[in-house]
Amino acid sequence: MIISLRDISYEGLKDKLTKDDKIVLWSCNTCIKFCGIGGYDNMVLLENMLTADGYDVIGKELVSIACMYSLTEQHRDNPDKSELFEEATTIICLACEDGYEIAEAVFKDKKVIKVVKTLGVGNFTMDRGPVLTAPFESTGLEQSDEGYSYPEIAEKLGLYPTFFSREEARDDSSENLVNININGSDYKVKENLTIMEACMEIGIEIPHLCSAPDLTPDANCRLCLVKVKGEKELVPACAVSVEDGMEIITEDDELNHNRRILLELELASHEHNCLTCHKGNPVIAGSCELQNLVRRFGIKESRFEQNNEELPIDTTSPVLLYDPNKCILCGRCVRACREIACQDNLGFVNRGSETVVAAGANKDFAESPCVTCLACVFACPTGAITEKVAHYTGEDWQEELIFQS
Amino acid sequence: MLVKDLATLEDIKNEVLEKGRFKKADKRVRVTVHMGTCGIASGAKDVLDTFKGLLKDSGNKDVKIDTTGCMGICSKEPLVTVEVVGQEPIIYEYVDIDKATEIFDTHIEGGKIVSKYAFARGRECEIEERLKGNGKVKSQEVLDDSIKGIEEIPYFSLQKRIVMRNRGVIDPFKIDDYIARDGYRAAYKALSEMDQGDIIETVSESGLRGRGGAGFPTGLKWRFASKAESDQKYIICNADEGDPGAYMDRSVLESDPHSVIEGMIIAGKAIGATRGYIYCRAEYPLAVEILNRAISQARRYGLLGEDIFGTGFDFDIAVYEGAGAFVCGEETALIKSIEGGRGNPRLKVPYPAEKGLFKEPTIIDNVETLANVAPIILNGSEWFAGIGTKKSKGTKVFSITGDIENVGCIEVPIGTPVRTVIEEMAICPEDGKKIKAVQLGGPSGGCLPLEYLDTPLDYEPLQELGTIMGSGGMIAIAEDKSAVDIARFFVKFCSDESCGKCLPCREGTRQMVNILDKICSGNGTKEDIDILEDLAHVVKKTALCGLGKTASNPVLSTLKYFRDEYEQIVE
Ligand SMILES: Cc1cc2nc3c(=O)[nH]c(=O)nc-3n(C[C@H](O)[C@H](O)[C@H](O)COP(=O)(O)O)c2cc1C
Ligand code: SF4
Ligand code: SF4
Ligand code: SF4
Ligand code: SF4
Ligand code: FES
Ligand code: FES
Repeated sequence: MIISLRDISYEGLKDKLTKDDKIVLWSCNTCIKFCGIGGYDNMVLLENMLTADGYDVIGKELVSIACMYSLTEQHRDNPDKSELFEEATTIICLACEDGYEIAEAVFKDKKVIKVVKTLGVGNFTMDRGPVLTAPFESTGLEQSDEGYSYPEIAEKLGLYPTFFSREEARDDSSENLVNININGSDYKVKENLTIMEACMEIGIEIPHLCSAPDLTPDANCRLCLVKVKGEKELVPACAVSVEDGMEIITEDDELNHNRRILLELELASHEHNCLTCHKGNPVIAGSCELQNLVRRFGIKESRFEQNNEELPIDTTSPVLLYDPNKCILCGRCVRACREIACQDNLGFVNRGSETVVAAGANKDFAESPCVTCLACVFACPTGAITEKVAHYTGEDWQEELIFQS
Repeated sequence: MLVKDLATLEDIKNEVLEKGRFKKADKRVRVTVHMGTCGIASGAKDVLDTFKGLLKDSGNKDVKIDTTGCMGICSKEPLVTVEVVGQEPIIYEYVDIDKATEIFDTHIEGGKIVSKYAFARGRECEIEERLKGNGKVKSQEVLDDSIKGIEEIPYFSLQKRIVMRNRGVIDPFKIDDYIARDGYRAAYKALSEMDQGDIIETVSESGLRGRGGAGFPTGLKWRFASKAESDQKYIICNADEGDPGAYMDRSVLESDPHSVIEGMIIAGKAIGATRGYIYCRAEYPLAVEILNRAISQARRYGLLGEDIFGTGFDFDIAVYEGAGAFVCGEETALIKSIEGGRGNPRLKVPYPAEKGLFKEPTIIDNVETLANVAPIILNGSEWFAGIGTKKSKGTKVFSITGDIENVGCIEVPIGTPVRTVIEEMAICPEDGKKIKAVQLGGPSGGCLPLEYLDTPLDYEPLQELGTIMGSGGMIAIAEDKSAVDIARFFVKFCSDESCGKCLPCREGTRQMVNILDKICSGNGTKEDIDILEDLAHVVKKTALCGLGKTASNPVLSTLKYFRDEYEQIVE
């Protein structure tokens, strides 16, 4: 992966902006995310900071690979986004310098702001995070097998080892807050958040599988259903926004019973053997979200009839492996491909319990117009779509595992 | 010719009446073969061909052969009405090629009624007149009073025809027939004498509720959509009718397409929409054909298109053939499907009335709902509100099937007790088995056991007992039928029709079927019944759309009233 570090302070960034700028945040979801700079969360953080300081952030765009020219163009030309990019005057680019240059070329008429210096090629390690192993000559650093860690590089080259932090922004209490009550306690939260987001900010986790912060909600797994006073039916926390005075119950015997049954249904729908699954190791980051919930709810077995039908595994993609037997049909990959990759390569075929996710026009990945951007890999909560280089192979088992992207 | 005013409508009406389609014939005899999909399925086409052939061979120029849609009593089909000028029309039942030949020779040519094949005397649309005239209609001679008058048959006399007002009378392929029955007058009134507010007010005050299942007040829905601001709004007629055994909407479309079109024009004016879609099940080819014909006829008269009745109001309709999935009848899935996507439901919010088809304000009304609109506009809200119960006004069409004698479509005032329908209209066959329950509302509905047969057919009372009015399916279940089998049948249907989007419906219905299979095959245990019940409750509470939310109803209601049957099998 490409290694970049932030080379601009928050004050420095603000110097490049005016309050009239119509700002769109442009964030790459690949290398730079693992450098702790791009990705969705950082984009939201920066949005909050800038908004609190009175800047006009009109939109955010997560891009699966910012250094791919055609992808960048497709994002710009997406009819759903045409108004946004027409209105925007300024793009803050959370991508490597390659990604930045492409953004500059694609958005010729706009001010495009770069926040990083790109230093060379490196790896992501389990213990030290991203490390730079093959620095560009311009850095003056030697090649290193072990690699330079971020604090080291930052010190050597006078860069910032982390992303902007909230402390750098003015704490703005004039933000619009609403009063809500969750499980009997009162809270003030920002308006426009979904119930799930509000709870997350407070530190209350609501079980979920089909939602992710960077994707539009689809409310299909039904695990996040909560009780809202005054509503006849249960409400999906991932898709419904908080309102002033809302009284929410996120957990009680009934809700948890529903969740347990739903998880049991999920387990019975396919064979889930975590021992042999690529996402099955619960101690590493990015492990399976289904397994995690099953453990959390203490489910020992499913009382429902196990479906043992085996669907063919698709190994044809050079970068990813698709195992429909591990798929829970949450649709996150489908939305990621559409929303983050700006492609439309994934979709559902068949109906009812026959439904499966398929690439292209129900073809192999290799035959589909997949741009191998991995947006779906990052989105998938289970072992259904995994990245091939991250697979356990049984070879070199003594070596420390290194993720590379 | 363009129809721009009331006078032209009146002219068409008089012309049709003059030509004697309804009164005097320039021909001496009129033979009507009733040809809905149901009639055709039981051989009406052969009967029609037989009459046509005989007529041709005989060289008789005095006879006119017509067709109409279903008469509503499908179990007696093929039905044929023979009307000799000056005499009472005679309806013949179970007509086949041989009987048709005999009827042709004896009645049509020989002037003598073939009493042994006769079902009734008179015409359905004249029942009220017949009741007033003591079983007689002026200027109609009675030849054989041993045949029952149609008004003496409870199946017909207990019905109240609003939606089905033209059933069996008009030829659905002829717009003039519809106009002769005062068609398009309501559209004229709405377009030239009323404003948006007046129409919505009238529909609201009439108390009309959606007939597609949920019973949402139609006027209120229209009000939401009329308030939404947009240059383009849509009105969609939901004709996806997918419940097994339900064919009320098909019956309306096949026998009286203009009643729906007229309702849509009025709805269009009310909310400010200029474009309408009829989303029709692809399995209804006859209905699609009839609708397309009706639409082009209406266009030719200028009743669809630009500047209707010279009022400056533009409105046009296209028929969209659905993909045939049951779930596409759900409004958000239906919209998705017309837009060209996979017909999956989404969250209801934002409501289609604000953001529907192509993200524009859209109302979706059921066929039967729309067919009620013209009579309400013409006769006023008070008239409509005078029929039905306190909370629910008007009539409801039901398709009744199962272990009963008279199978078909009936329209009764809302609030009519289930018992009246089952015992007096549908009639339990004398040599047949006793009825033990009535299943209402199709796959989303539930069973009503015998002890609740006096429950009125109305949204809330039925819901309280764990069933629903739904779109109007009604199945009588004989005592030797297993309640478990019935639950299994409907859950299997929902499982097959699940769109697969949400987990509880996709996997929950599959597992309910698995457990019911196990129980039905005799391998079940008491625990299985408990798991089934538990699962059914969870699916009901957690599913995303109406299909999943109601898929458990057949299980829960049979468990409620016939738990002993489940327990007997597992023992
Ligand atoms: C699974 C499912 C299937 C449905 N099928 C139909 C249908 O076939 N016809 C219909 O009119 N409404 C159907 N509905 C109800 C519609 O969503 C909608 O409520 C109705 O068309 C609104 O019209 P109304 O207000 O006139 O009843 C269905 C609902 C669900 C959940
Ligand atoms: S997808 Fe998750 S639950 Fe399924 S086998 Fe893999 S790790 Fe286990
Ligand atoms: S399917 Fe291909 S194009 Fe779509 S998100 Fe996955 S890797 Fe990217
Ligand atoms: S492949 Fe993964 S992300 Fe896609 S639907 Fe299946 S489980 Fe969800
Ligand atoms: S309840 Fe069934 S039909 Fe409705 S969205 Fe869920 S899976 Fe689809
Ligand atoms: S930072 Fe994503 S490819 Fe450069
Ligand atoms: S997380 Fe809300 S329904 Fe799946």
